[in-house]
Amino acid sequence: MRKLVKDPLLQFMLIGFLFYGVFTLFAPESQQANDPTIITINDEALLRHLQAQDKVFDRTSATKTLAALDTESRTRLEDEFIRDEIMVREAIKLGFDQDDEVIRGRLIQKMDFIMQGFAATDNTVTEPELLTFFARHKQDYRREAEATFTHVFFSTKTRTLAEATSAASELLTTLNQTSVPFEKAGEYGERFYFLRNYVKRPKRLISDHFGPEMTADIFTQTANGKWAGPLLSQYGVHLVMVRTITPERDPDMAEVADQILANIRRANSDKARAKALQKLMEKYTIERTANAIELGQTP
Amino acid sequence: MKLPYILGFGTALACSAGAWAETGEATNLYWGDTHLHTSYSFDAFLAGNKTADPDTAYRWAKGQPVIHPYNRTRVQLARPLDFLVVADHAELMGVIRSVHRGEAELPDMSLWGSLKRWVAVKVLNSKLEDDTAGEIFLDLLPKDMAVPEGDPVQDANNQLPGQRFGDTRGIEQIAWNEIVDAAERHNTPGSFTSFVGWEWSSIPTGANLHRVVFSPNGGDVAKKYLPYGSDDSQYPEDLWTWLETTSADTGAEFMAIPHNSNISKGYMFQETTLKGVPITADYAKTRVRWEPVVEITQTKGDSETHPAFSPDDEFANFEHYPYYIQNVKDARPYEARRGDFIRPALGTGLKMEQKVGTNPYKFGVIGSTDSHSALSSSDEDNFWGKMGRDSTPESKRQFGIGRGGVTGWNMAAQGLAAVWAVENSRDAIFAAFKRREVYGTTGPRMRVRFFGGWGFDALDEQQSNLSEVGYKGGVPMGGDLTRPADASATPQFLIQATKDPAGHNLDRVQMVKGWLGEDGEPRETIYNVAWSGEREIDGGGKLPAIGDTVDRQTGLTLNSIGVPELVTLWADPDFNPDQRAFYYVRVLQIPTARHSLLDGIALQTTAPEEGPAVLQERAYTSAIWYTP
Repeated sequence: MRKLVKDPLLQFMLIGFLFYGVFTLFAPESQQANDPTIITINDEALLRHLQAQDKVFDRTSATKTLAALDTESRTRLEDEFIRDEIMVREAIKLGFDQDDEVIRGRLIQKMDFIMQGFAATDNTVTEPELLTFFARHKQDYRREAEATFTHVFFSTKTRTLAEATSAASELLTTLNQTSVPFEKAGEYGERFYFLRNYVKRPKRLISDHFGPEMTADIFTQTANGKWAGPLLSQYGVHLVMVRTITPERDPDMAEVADQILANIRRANSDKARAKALQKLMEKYTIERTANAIELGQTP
Repeated sequence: MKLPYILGFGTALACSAGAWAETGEATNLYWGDTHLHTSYSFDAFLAGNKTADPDTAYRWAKGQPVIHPYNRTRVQLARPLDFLVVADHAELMGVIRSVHRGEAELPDMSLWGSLKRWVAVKVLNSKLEDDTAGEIFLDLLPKDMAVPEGDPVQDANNQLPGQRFGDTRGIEQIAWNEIVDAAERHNTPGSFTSFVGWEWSSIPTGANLHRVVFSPNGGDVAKKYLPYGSDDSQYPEDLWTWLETTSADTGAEFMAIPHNSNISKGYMFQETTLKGVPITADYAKTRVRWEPVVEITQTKGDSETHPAFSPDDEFANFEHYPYYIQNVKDARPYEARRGDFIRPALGTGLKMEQKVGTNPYKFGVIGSTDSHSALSSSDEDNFWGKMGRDSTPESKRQFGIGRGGVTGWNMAAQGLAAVWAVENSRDAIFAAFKRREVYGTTGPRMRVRFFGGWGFDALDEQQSNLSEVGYKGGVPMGGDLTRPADASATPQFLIQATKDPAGHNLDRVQMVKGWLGEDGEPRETIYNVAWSGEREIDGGGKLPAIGDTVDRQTGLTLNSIGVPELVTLWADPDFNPDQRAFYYVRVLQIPTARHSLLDGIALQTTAPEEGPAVLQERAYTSAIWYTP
């Protein structure tokens, strides 16, 4: 017996067995993972499957659901999981994941999300930055055109357009000959549905009230203290006296500093993301190959 | 509180010269929202609004483009608002946000408490990452009451939200200061007014008793207190006491606006107090002092009235929201109760006044959104949902899983607050609220003048100084009439309704009258007082429907029916000088597409079944009361 123990062949074999034992004990999965024909089922895998199926990623409640399954339901869930797993593996084997737009989209989305996290930059913005940004994006901060005017209204609800127009034209002469001022507008014509005087009102609002055609007419008037018209809206005919027209303008920076700051931060984070992408791109070589088809010709 | 009451009309007269320059009228019309949540509200944050803070809310309200907090598109309000109250929940104000951002310095707790909190924070963050945070909100929902009809606060099933994060007042103070600072930054008297405010979110066993509280004071005053929440007390009486004390201590003025009475399980406008004690004159005086205005319409439904209490009103079945905010497990189904709706409440008010001498429900009405995305949107074609998550046609379908089958299409794209104020400033708008010269719409900006008096002359419809006539010869909406010297006189009402300049024509103007019958019980009648077209009132007193010009393929409405303006002078044909009464005006627009129809068209499916395809948007004025 002692002789046997000392036999180098046996010693060698024993060591071999020991190695095999240790290997199978401690690395069973890695070996199986290399084998594409072995599917491992355990609670972990089923939990993941269950959550993906419900589109509810709550481990606690999924664990509860899984624990509560009876044998029949659990078998059904396992069968489902096995079927899904086989389908996915076979599809990958056939290369179906390669040119699929849905899968590509999902991968891009995941990567983009991760890069957004990397790209979190510091939020400090200096005043020169603010100035440069404002100068470069002035058109984004333009202030709408405004007008100050009053009007005298002739409704077409109770008379024809021709009647309203001639009544307005007649009054226009009187208003200008007797120099009726801005503040006396209310003594003439009829009550309009909306406002009588429009003081520094934005073009958009004036257009809501009078329609785009008449609004365009108002903004081409000159502020000379004279009555003008008749102008036509969907409600009737108007005589207007324009006091001021403020064209579209660029605001002072102080007026819009908050807005600029928010936009710089957004622009910075976009830039950081682009930079992260650039870094990745450096790892790649872009090759342009001869075109297989000629553009502009039907294949 | 005393000052604005007296000053209200004083200023009205003093400043009228300024207002004349713009409209030639003593008061101007301003549009706003008094009920808007941002990412600082715990439920808003949990439901997909992680980024739209008070600054975003103000920028949207001023018409600037902003990023939608959930779907990340650029969104914009075509027509800016004139004023806004950012009203985040006082409970856990800013806490979820700051825990998630890792900014919160949480207080010391016991070892066990810290462990539980550590788990809570982990769960919260993981749910926020994978977008299932709404489940936490479901966990926080109250349980239905064990004993119906009792005091819900004392009910065995009532529980205050647990303090999982420990004492968070430190974090709430930081959040409140940030909210106040944002309001201060955006307040520009004359063009845009911001108010500081919050929501007291009392909801014992699912009975919604929520109030928005707002104040016209500046940041220096607002930072002297921390908003009073339902975690301090769930009884409104305790809120009023706090308002009283804080007002005396800091000089702040306040107003509380009850809302969503429609889901209060009958507790909002009871004939007793919440504790079940009969209403006394003191209670009535305190209540009407702090709560002169209520919300009549908002995203979670319309609270004007219900067919159960207004069976003769063919327009009563409008945008109802029959879902309590509670855990639906083992809960009783929705049941409309008298204490839930405004028109019945105005009647109950007359009854209480007869009994104790003061009317606890003499309130004006407004609309507001209660939006939780920081975007105050009440336009059907520019509606961004109730929460962040239900902001796209597809996500509206899935909204609110586990909440009794509510989807984003059960939500209503409404409402707006209209204010007749001397100028666009904190003091002037607050004063208008105090004197109830306010009204509500379901979204469109219809302009409604409403005056009551005894001696108006036969109306010249084209008269251009109608409001001058109204103010001179009577009282505006929110006002009071009392027995005139001439015993045979009849009250007259001067009404002018103009369509939304950028919106659709009007169908009709109705007068809703409520009075106290011989038996001391409230009654109601609806009179059609002005309408478009050649329609005639039938034998049953009904005016035929106006028809419908909504193209179901495009959702667009043709303005070929209705009129831009309806003006009338109406005298009550059934007036009895010995009966207490209230009168308010309801203006109906021609039918237009509901947001759900527009979504259905976009999704290329049939219109969702939640709600009708088309609806008649409307305006409700504050009442004018007659007291013998």
